[in-house]
Amino acid sequence: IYGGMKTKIDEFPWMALIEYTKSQGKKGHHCGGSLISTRYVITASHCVNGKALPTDWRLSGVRLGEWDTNTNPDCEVDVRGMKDCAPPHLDVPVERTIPHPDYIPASKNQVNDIALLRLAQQVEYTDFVRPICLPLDVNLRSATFDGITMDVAGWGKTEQLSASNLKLKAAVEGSRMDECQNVYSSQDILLEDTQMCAGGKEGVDSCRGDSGGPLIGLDTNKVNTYYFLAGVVSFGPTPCGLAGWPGVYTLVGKYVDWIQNTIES
Amino acid sequence: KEYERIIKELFTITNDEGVVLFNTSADSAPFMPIPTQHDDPTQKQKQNQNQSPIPETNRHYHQYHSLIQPDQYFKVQRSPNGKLNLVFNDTFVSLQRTDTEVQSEQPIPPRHPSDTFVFPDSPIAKYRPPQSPARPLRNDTKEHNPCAKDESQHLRNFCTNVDDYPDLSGLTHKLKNNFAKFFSNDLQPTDVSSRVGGSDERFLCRSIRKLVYPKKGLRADDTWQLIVNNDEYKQAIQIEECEGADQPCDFAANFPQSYNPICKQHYTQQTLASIKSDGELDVVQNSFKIPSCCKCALKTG
Repeated sequence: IYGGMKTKIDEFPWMALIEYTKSQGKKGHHCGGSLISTRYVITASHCVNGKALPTDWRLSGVRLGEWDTNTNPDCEVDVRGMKDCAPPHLDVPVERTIPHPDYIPASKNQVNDIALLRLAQQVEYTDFVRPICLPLDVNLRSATFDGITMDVAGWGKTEQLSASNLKLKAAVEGSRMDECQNVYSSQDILLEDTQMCAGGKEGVDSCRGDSGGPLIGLDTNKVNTYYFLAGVVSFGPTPCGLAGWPGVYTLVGKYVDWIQNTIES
Repeated sequence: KEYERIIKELFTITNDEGVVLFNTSADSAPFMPIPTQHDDPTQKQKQNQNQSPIPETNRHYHQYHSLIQPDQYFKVQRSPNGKLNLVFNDTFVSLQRTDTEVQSEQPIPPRHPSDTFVFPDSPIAKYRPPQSPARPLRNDTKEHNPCAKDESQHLRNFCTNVDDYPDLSGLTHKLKNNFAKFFSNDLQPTDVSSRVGGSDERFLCRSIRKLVYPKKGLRADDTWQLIVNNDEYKQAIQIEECEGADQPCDFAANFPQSYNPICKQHYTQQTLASIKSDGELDVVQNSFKIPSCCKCALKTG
């Protein structure tokens, strides 16, 4: 995340780190994801079968309840000087990866860049492991989020580090599709209405390592105010946070039916 | 002519910053200052009587030794007649003519590399040979403080704040008609790609990339020149500077002993719309030195 700020230890408890097992059993986290049920994590398809993934990397698991990758358990000192600690993070094996069937890894446009990961076991919800809502509401399913401010979060590259140890967040504004398309046309990229753009403000953006992570919207219905998964980090410019170049996200509202039909109970 | 020959034996003369010592090494050899010693203060007083102005620096002489071959050293000192001299091991070289010699020559001969040697970080750098009055100060090689006092960034090749930046309103017509291509503000990404994390690669030299809007820059020939950059006409350049130029690379201890890993700043050149500094205000194009990347170089002793 560029231009980000630290999250609180219990903020965005649906955030997942995607674990890859490499040659000689080495492990690393190179994508983000979002927990949507006790058994499923949503990420980007290019984190599962993307052409940029080295052939010796195997997506092996997800980490939940993580905040600071340098410490375990994670603790935060509050304003009263009290230490607030989370339970140790959970490393859960992935039983099956389900890239979207219409995602074409080598495509320039990266349409349908969304995937589901089925966990090998059910996870128990806590204050630090908790799902995010899907945009099920009719209005949200068709929303384009122009001019709406949302948060993007992850452990990806920052201005100083190739990966952040702390979970970071940044506020980005949804941009108009025609304006975003104009910008990306110069790179011969054609965007579809299942994608959305957000950001474009200098120095505030998602970046390398944030792929698959959530673009988080806030909605209020008659009953309560809740967070929902508006987008999934897909691609964007290098350098990240280039003025006038918003990041491109998969518009989750367009995939609610696919998600619901794919998830086994 | 004689010192020219000796200097060429000792130095490699390039367009890079500073000097390159000890021709015996394959590439530019790093060197290190040895703590300076004070001259006898009575001697200094004596000098002040017959030489003016005497730079502050003549109280010292400066010694440097090669990091690769510690037995190679040289000393820069000022002799009582005001000349800068170089003592390389046991060879004695005069680097500079005296003021009287300079003044007696009319017209001023073209500047020679040997009288513009400046050691970065050395107080001697403050001393410059006397100028011909006709020579505009602004074009001076290695201008001492080219940027405004409140310049916050430590850019070696550029100033983003300059005192007395000229009003360019008189050049609007020319800027608009002849130089429009320099001011397209559309920043293009170097790449558009998915945001999956990289493999755990680390560079041996740390560097900072940034976008700057320079108002003054160092040209290819090492002179400073004003660059067109105001609210209306903006030229952005992307630069990458070493965090520790000429410092050992990360993991330096892990290289075989015969290698000396040092982070080196590399440059490229870019043409920018700039401002002619002498005579009538005018816009011209010039090539500037752009810090482009920072590489770890291995040198053998």
